[in-house]
Amino acid sequence: MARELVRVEELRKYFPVRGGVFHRVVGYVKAVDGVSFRIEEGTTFGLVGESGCGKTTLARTILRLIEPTAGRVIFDGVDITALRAGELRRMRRHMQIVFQDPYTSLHPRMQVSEIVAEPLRIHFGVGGEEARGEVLRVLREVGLGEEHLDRYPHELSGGQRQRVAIARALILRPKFLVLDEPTSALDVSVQAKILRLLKELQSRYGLTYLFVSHNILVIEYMRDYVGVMYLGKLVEVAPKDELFKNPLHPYTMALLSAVPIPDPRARSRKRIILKGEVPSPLNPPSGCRFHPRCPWASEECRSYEPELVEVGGEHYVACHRWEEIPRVNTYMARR
Amino acid sequence: MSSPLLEVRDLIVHFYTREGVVKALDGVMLSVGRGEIVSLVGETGSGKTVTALSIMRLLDHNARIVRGEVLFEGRNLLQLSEEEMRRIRGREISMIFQEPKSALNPVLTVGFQLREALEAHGEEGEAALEKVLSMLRRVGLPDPERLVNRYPHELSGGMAQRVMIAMALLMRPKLLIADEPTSALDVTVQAQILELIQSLVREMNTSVLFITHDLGVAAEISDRIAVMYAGVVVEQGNVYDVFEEPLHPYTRGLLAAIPRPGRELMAIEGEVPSLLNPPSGCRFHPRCPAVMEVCKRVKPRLVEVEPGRLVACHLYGGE
Repeated sequence: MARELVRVEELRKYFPVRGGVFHRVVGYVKAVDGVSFRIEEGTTFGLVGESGCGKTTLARTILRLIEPTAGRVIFDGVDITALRAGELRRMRRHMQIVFQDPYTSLHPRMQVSEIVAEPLRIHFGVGGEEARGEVLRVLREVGLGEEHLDRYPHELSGGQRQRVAIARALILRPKFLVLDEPTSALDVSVQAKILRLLKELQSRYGLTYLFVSHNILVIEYMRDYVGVMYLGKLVEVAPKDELFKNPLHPYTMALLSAVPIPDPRARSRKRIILKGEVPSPLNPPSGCRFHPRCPWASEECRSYEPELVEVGGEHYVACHRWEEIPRVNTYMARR
Repeated sequence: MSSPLLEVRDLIVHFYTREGVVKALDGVMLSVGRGEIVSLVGETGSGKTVTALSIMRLLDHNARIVRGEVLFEGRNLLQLSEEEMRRIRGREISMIFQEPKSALNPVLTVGFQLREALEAHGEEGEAALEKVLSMLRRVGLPDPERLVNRYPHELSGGMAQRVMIAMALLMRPKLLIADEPTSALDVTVQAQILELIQSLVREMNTSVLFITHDLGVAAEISDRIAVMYAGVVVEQGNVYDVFEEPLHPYTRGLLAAIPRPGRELMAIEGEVPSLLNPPSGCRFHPRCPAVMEVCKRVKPRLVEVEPGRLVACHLYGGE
């Protein structure tokens, strides 16, 4: 088995909510509430979930772009949650992030060459001509060229901007890349190009990815491991093929069956349509957080929170009743 | 076959902007039959929304309809007076949008807005309230008596979209134009809303023009689909035919660009062209893997290659 590069242990991020005349803390949004998983070197861990489930907060907390409330993140053997600012900055060159929106994540008044060179300047004080060669190298890696060096972000298409963001993330030759919905703002034909590029870069440089997306088809394509998040918690983690063939958590089943499949013949598949919407993370339901929407919820589910436990073959699930729930044959498993 | 409920013929729309004239629609052909759900699919900027707004006659001031007809039950909507058009909107054709909350007035209660919609068409009082409540019940909203007193910001995205659907179907329109109604929703809520739209329109025998960028959604909901690229409908047909045997090279590329288990992901070369200065001939020719000499010069017509199966591509004749 490959070497572990990232290990997340019981990570929590609570955002205080203030209210009243004295602006006192009246509660907490538990955006990430005790999440643990590991990522092996050179693999992709796909994190999937709907809006408000905490996947973006989790991704940013892992990089300490947001300070965790509790828990640890071990990167390459180092507990980065214990590092001081200076040490953390040195560590950052190994861990980079690409954001969803290439329209706001690039500085509008900087040219592509400056944007991509910025990490070099910050981390190594390298600039000017010295940086230019390296910038050009990395731009070519992502399918851009010399003609893009002097452009401004507004002169580029959405796909090109996302390539610039990837180039900026790669210029320090990091080991670990957090990809936070990197293709969600793009049209499918552009998305296809970016996804292919990311895979190519991964195999060329042995990169490790944490790929965050609400789109399960995209997560499926990026492969390796998948974690399903619901209201601040991981409800299921498994190797990709296992998760799509044999989902055990009722939320995963519902999520998989709700994905619109671009094949009208798939309409006849058995679907689980959930009732209601995701409740507020400010006041999550008691017991299992999914129980108000779960068709199989029992008394136990209302009272006790299930732990994420391994049920065999690197497959983890947090559900009291996973053994009793009827299996669904998802379209994803059909080949 | 009887004439379709809606028929868009050779619609050309230009926008006058500071940068120049955007040739947004270039001869759009489209039809929606009675009781039929037709999806209009395409990527950003392909002209889906402009087509919808042209049908509703809600285009911005800088837009000009250069040519074409929008036949609704045989009447050309483009020639009606604004007064006549107002009677058609809401009553005969209604529309729902991607962001239900921005379509609702934030300072008025849900009930007020729904009753106002009815009053605009002459229905008032107790009977109107009863109609509103029953419609809210039909779109699956619990406790409608309390809901009518709530404001849009108190609703979740899914609930707000249900309110919009209730409002759109209040007058039992013949045609519902749904512009990306589930694109801002999460998949589990999207599944609920798609199911709701499908069952309601079947029950009420309402036709739907469903605009989406998501081919998965189109495959789930439609009877027929029309694929748009750069202001042109390039292919139209039964949903099974188009997904199983796409004819136009763009449709093929688009289908191959969706990640799907067990299939290779393919990309379409190049980028979507600027419509300030669209390519000559077939607008897809610079990106087409099957491009021929004629494609650069002559715009292909939408021709019927089999009954109900239309494609605009020189590979299939059409001069």
